[in-house]
Amino acid sequence: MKICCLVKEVPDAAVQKRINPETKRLDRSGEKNLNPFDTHAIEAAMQLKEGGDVEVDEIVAVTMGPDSAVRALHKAVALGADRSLHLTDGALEGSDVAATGYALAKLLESESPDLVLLGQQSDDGECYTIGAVVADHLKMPSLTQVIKMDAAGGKLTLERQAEYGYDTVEVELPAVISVGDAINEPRYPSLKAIMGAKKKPLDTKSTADVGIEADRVGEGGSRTAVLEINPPPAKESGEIIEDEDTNETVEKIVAWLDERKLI
Amino acid sequence: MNFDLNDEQRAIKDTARELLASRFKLDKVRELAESGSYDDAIWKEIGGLGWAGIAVPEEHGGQGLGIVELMLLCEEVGYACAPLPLFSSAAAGLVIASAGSDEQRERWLPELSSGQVTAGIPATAPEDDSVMIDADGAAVLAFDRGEGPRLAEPSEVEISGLDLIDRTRRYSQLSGEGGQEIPGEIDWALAAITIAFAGELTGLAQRAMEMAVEYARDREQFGRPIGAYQGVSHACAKMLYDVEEARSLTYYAAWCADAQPESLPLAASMAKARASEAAWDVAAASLQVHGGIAFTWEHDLQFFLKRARVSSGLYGTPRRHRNRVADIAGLGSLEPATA
Repeated sequence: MKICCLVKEVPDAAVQKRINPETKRLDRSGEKNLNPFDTHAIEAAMQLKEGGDVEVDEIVAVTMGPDSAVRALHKAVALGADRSLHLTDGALEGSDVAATGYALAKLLESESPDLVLLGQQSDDGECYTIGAVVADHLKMPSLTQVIKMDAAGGKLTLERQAEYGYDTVEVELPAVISVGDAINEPRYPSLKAIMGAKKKPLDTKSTADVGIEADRVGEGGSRTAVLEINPPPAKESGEIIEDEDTNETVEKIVAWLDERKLI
Repeated sequence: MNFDLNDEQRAIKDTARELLASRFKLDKVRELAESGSYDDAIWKEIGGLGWAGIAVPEEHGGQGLGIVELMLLCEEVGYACAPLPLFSSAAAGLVIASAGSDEQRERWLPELSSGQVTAGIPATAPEDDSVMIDADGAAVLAFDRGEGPRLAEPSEVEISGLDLIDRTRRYSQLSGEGGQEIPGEIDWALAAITIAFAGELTGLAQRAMEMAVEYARDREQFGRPIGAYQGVSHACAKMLYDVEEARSLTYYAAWCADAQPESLPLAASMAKARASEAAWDVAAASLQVHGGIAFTWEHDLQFFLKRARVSSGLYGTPRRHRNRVADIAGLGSLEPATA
């Protein structure tokens, strides 16, 4: 089995998120890191490989991004991926979710993976949708918010977190699975793995290398356009109930909750 | 010339920051400090990642990296105020690797490097009562009681616990002269250990500063954050100056240990003198920025303050190191070296 893990370079969690008012895109300057949600996908791949229920031949970390995204790939490799694949091209700049999903799908076609894993969201765009877009282009089944995964006989049995509880789903491979952050606790890379990350194979591809149509990516090829950016409306101040008489306070709180049909 | 950390060094530092932040949240630090213990499960995990043997040669089971990398790990241990026998085990590994006999290397380095066993080491000169770090519970002790460096198992010497104000680390006193002589020259290892310790002090100072700045942003008086008042903002600016100077000198000294050994004695003393002062000055100033709350047992700054107080005097006080700098620079002894 070949597993491809989609990973992304994102601004470090400590960097405050800002929108560039000129480009109307997220300002991605400053310290960057591997998207923390993707580390759960790599860990899930590693657990499949180490679990022994299926034979995993290799785990490939895959990303699309500028030159600096190589650092995220090195971290993915330090966490266990066997090699990495970097799609980078100026033509991709400004791609929206649909264009990014198309480009990643074209890149993945060249790998023919049995399983594509990714984190539930990116820590910057937070769209939660890239897995579904990639799966649509690859004509593979897609599942999101997966928090348990067992593999046997060419099938995966998955537990999926939903608003109402859990779905248990069986899916045939190949498939695109977006994992929730409750699926596992990602390991930390050993010193040996950190030092060896640059020695593992890294292939760099351009849009032409994987047959990406230029008019379907980049700002021009994106189907969405950001027209305006406004801050969210200011929060109204809450109602403060002073605790002068506890019985009375409890009655007031119950009445407040009841009014809103919360109890 | 590039003075920045390389990608791997940055990855080591980032990984250490993330792991220690996850494993040593401040309530965990408090729990371990109050019980005077270490967490064996965390130590096992860290041992598995190769941290204890970071600067031990690969042929002895270590990672074969340098003092810069060891110092970066120690800086993050200080930042987390982590109760952890990492520094002592890594330091003993350095002594044994650089000055031990073949038999001593073979006996101890693989197990020390993998974290299977821990080591105790002295933190003061023999004439200063031989305070040991992490001797309690260690499998091997490296020490010098004034008769030259020795290596012993705990059954070959006497160890008595020492109750210091810093409860995030185990201290003890050692007596006896058991064990075997360490045959090689240990000057390089002692300088490298001093630099790694300066890294820890820098990390302590960095965190104490961040706690002060965060508090100065959040705490309001007369309708403004207290950081808006010069009395507080200037104190915070001074903290940054102290931390950055300590870090620059410590990073330079670590680089000297790996790449320019002829500059090592001077660089190590400059780093330790400045990092000791920074750790205590910043922690003490942070306490003033916090005001009365930081004097309470419930506030976490106390752990950083007490560790900084004790650690700043270990491996030579700032005065001793300044005197050494003056000696090396040919200026003679500037101050009485009594402390």
